[in-house]
Amino acid sequence: MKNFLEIANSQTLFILCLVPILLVVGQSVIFVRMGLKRTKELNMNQTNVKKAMVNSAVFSLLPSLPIVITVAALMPSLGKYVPWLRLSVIGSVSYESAAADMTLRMFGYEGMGDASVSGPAFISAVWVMCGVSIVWPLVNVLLLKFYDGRVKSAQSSGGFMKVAAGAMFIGLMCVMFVPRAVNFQDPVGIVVCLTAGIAVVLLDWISKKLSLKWLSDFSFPMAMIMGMAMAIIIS
Amino acid sequence: MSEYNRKVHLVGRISSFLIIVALLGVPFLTSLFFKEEIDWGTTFAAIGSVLMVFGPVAVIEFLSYLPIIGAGGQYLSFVTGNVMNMKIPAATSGRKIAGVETGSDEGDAISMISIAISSLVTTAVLFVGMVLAAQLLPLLNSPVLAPAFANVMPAIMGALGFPVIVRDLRTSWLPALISVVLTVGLSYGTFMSKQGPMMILFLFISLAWSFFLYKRGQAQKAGAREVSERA
Repeated sequence: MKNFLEIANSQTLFILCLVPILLVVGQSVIFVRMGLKRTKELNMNQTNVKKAMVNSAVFSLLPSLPIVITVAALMPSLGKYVPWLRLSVIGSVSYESAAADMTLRMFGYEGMGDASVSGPAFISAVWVMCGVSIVWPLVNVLLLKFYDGRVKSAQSSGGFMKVAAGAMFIGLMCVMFVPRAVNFQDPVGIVVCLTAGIAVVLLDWISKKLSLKWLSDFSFPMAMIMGMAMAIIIS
Repeated sequence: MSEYNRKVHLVGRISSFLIIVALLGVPFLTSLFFKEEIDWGTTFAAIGSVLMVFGPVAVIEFLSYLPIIGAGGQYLSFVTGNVMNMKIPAATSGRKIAGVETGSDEGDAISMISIAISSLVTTAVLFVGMVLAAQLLPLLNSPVLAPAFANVMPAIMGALGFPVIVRDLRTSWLPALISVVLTVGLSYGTFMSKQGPMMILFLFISLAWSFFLYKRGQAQKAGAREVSERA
């Protein structure tokens, strides 16, 4: 029976992991092309569309770095390629660690970090990580068209449904933002959260007052960097 | 459903299905290539245990995100993950730059493009990170930069949530107040450990409160019309 690292760091596994990642890249490229064509059909300002694309690329760089740290942190326990795959395709830090750890414990190991994990137990952990994560795209494949049809017809009927998406976003922020802003156990987090939030509002206000459209375009990534810089200053 | 929407669903379904097959192919072909016997009983038991924890989260996310990021955005987000910390902020920021509404055709198109670009950037960064992990890790974990990376989520959520809450205080004050009370009352850790049920609760509260305000606004408009007609 092989030790898991012989499998986990093999070229075979690299190639197997590369296939879904390339498919994800292909899907993104196709959707970008479809989206661009759609914006032309809708007579949207193409300069703004390009700005939105640049903004998305710039913004996405920084939050990707902690994911790199997670990939590196998972490497001793899961080898080089599985963390790369799992955080590139449907991955999240909490999910990957919990799924792998739970599986290895069920096989009688001490969880992730146990150096004596066997090859089959490692493959089982990969089965569990991949097997459960497909629930997200699977639900989309089975139900999204139907659900989207319902949502679209409700939105086209006008009335309250026109404002419902905004209300849902507020609900989402009451779970993702508000608790962080009042988490008194983490004062640094509160300062970071409020710095970034106030910075967005201020940058947008300055951009309006001084007619600096570019400032408003990049207010989000700039505010995020200001929040993170504040964490360095006060820590 | 328009021709464009039908195409989005066709491409989204086919590509998602292919990704599912490729993903399941990784453990399947690994066990074949390395001729390792899998203990299926324990593996399925582990899948069941993990599914019980994360399955409901998937269903809640499926229902919650569509009106905000559109179908194309959802197909993309659900195969790359990091929805709350990257895909929704990227889409929101993109819509703001293009000056388009959430839920509109224009908004859905911009959300889809922004999310796809975000996915491509993350995939590229992760590839570089995987190859250069040993060289990058000391820099990323340096004592100076560590607090910044430890606070990425508060920074993103602050930049995303603060303007949403303060710019529409009429709709947001009540759900935000309930969120504050629950976070302080239950503790932050308990609140966040129940993120799935909390999401359902706050979507309901926000929708119900917004509906109440909408109906009251309509009634007031009708009242004002009646008064002006009488005058």
